[in-house]
Amino acid sequence: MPAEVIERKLTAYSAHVVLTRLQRIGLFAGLALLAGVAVLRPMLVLQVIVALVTLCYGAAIAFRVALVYAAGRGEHRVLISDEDARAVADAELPVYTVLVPAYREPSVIGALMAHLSALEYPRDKLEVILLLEPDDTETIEAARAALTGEHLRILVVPESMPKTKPKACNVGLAEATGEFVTIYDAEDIPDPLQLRRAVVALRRLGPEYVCLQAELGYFNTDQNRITRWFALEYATWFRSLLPGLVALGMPVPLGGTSNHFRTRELRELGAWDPYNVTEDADLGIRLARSGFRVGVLESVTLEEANSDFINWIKQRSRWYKGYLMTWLVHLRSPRATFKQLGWRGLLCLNLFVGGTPLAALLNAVLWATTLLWFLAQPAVMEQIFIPPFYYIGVFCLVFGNATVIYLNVLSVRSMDRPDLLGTALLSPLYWAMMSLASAKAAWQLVFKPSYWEKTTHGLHLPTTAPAASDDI
Amino acid sequence: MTSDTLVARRRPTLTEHRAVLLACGIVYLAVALWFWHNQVIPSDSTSRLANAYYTLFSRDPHLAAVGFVWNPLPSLILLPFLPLKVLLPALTQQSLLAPLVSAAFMTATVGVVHDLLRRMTLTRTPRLILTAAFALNPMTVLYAGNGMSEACFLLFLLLATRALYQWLTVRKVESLVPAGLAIALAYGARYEALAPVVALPVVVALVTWRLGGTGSRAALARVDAVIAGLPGVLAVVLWAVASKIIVNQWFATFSSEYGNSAQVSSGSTGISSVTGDDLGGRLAYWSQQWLGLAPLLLVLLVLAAILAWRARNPGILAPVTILGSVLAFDALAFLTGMSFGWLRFQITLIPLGVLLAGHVLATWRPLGTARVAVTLTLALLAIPSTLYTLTQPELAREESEYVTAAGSARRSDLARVDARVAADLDAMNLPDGAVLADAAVAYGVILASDHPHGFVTTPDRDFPGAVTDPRGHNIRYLLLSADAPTDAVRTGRYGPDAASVPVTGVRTWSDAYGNLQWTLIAA
Repeated sequence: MPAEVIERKLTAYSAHVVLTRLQRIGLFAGLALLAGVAVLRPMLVLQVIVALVTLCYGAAIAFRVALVYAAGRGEHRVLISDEDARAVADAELPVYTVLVPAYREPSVIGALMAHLSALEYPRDKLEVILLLEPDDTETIEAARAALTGEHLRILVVPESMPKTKPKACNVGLAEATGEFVTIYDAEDIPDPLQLRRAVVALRRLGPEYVCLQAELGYFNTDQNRITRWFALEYATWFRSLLPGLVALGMPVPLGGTSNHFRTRELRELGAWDPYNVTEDADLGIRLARSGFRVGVLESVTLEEANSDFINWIKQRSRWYKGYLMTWLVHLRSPRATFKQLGWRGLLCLNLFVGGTPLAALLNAVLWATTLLWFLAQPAVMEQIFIPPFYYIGVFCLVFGNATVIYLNVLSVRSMDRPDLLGTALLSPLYWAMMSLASAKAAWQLVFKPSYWEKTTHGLHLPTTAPAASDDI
Repeated sequence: MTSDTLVARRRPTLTEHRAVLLACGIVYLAVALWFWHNQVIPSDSTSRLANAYYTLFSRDPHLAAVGFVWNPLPSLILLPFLPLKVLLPALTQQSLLAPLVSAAFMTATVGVVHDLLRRMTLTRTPRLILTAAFALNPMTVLYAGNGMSEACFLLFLLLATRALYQWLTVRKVESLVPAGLAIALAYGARYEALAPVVALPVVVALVTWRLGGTGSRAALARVDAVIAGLPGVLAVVLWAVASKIIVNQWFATFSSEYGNSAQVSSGSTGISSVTGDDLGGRLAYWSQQWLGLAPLLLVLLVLAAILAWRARNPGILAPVTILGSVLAFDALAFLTGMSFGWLRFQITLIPLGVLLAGHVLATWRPLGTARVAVTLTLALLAIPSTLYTLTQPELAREESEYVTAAGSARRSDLARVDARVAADLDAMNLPDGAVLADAAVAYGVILASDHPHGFVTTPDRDFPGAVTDPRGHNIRYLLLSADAPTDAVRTGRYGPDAASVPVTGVRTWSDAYGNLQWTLIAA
């Protein structure tokens, strides 16, 4: 099945158009109405906005706590022991396709070969497709020089728009021969038994499960404060929040790599949306809409944590933009979404997918408001913040922030990394970075929706020249 | 073990648990109704109910009206129930809500004690006897029914004890979360929780450091201490900051003119006449109270400690850390002359004794009938001894006010006077904000009134202005207490000397013994 055929299946939910005509009309009509009322009753509009924002914000915090609580009650990740993973005879293993999209990272090709050769999977059942772009001769040459083994091959993605990672993956998927398929980034260090674990797990879980998300961690956690924050965030994400979503029977937005699929179903579903800058999260929602389930596999893939401030902001703003896109795309036909996802799915879509970037954006506004109050105490604020919402707002400000810091301390403990305590307690500074990224994301969503921010890799290597690539 | 046998094993303790809750619920409800029916609900209960009432039904309803002198949880928890006064006016006008809620809290507390004894793997008979030793102790029964904050406080302390016990025995870090949260909530109920706010993380850190596995034990200890301690510390800091912002005092309990320290100093002659002035006198008084409530606690403590050491069972640290630290705090406060030395400050002795006995039974091996009998007797002796102590007005200065005939007559008479004042003021058909009264003394009157908007009271934001210039604030009358030292309305007009209060006015009200209680004067 060629990539174009696969992609055609998702046209209705592609982020090629971020807002459909109907959404656009609705948005402008809403804004016009708001502006109209604002002229007549400005205070009322402000009060209603504050009330709505407060309620949504409170709901997002409550949702987060509910996820962690749900995740804590029992094991919601799929655990496959080393023995069980190795117990399957080579003859019984299916062909497994590993897609490795890379762009301008000649320096990591050597390491990539080493990490892939560490995978415990029979070579005659393994198909590794290195997806490279035609203009990236450097990486193509490096790969050609380093490539050894029949199971490895290079696929130069034909020139076509958009030139994105999901596009490359779709091209790779079109040629994949495996029963199962997964994606690794070039710099990833996957758990050597991950493919075997995924096979055993997917067979155990049955056909309802079409995808398993493995846990992502970082190999350069201790490089600086940003990488430590990042590692802590990932630990919370993959050990609490995603298992919480699984526990509550909600859609799971996938992470960019180490997701393991049944190839046939993935093709049927239309695979990755080449226009969505977080095609992975979007795919997670689409899987849920089609009635499939996603599990979280206890098996770690180590990645490179973004250690540079500017680079981090770029990467994070792309994620946030993608989440917002995904949110808008799936709100196109709310009735269909509700029918397919149910109220749980809708909660996840709004409070988690839409809520994560929006909360980051709102944080900055709300902190600024708080600061303004303490510095100037403008009387008009007393009018805007009417009592019940004012109290909920104060509650969110105080307990919301405290709760998230507290949850981070718990993550430190469950990661068995007590040295990260200070990092957890300093999380508010990381949130400030998130706010910055979300502002950039919102701006880009409006003016440059499909623009793909490149993330530089190899910053943990002091000697090699950094390379730009599409990462997760 | 199949799941069937698990269910079969669970069921008896579950029904037993429900039976315990039901029985206690009924008994405590009856006690609560008795307190209400005889109108001997303590003034502190009424005042905490009133604090909640102001936030919704005063002339100037706002959350901060709950006040900052007393920790807010016992009042805040009443808020959702206050609107029910429409259906049942007695809930607020006769303070019925306070004892109903304390009865519910104490029932839940008994449930936690029972569950904790089950977790200590006690068999049914000793488990039920020890649960009863706590549930039927006269102090427990009294404070279940009188609407005071002790029941709420005990519940959170025991929830923390249970979670800490769980952590000490199973060592799953998740248990530290409920322990920390419970201590934070306990601080919301009473400031004595400052002690476990400190003690809990310290003990947790020491245990992790001592028993922690490989790796950096000091760093692990630090993280565990933060998990256990952060909620409590946050509760203390938040409450202090909120107080500072709203009433400009970090710890109003200690610094307000209505607070504990002020009350202790203004009533110090009264206190020392009973307890003695010097350290020796206080120590003697305090020991008498201690021995009265838990005569053989020290025996149980030593026995439990020896057995715990032999069995290498750290579970005993849970009740000792949480309940013991509260006791130590109160002892220190009293011995240094900073508290009243009320008997109720030692109420944690009751669950502590029971849990120590439970721990003895859980660790004493081999455990023959004789040893069980001895342990249970040690625990049960607290009941007759407490009963005796409660009838001693010197030791149980507050409690004897409602368990002795003379005391309860005095108390119910004061409630009647308050209701009379409220009814008379209602009959005057005054406009909103016509009567100026200090909420810290007139809470009973305001609660009993059909027209609470008629009063301008302490939490109202225009109160300070109204005290200095009543007429400018459309005040028509001032309601003055006869002798309460903290009555801001009276002292604002007549100074601190109670003798200067006019004995005539627009109206005066006296109690059944002819003592002047209230004077209403024109502004």
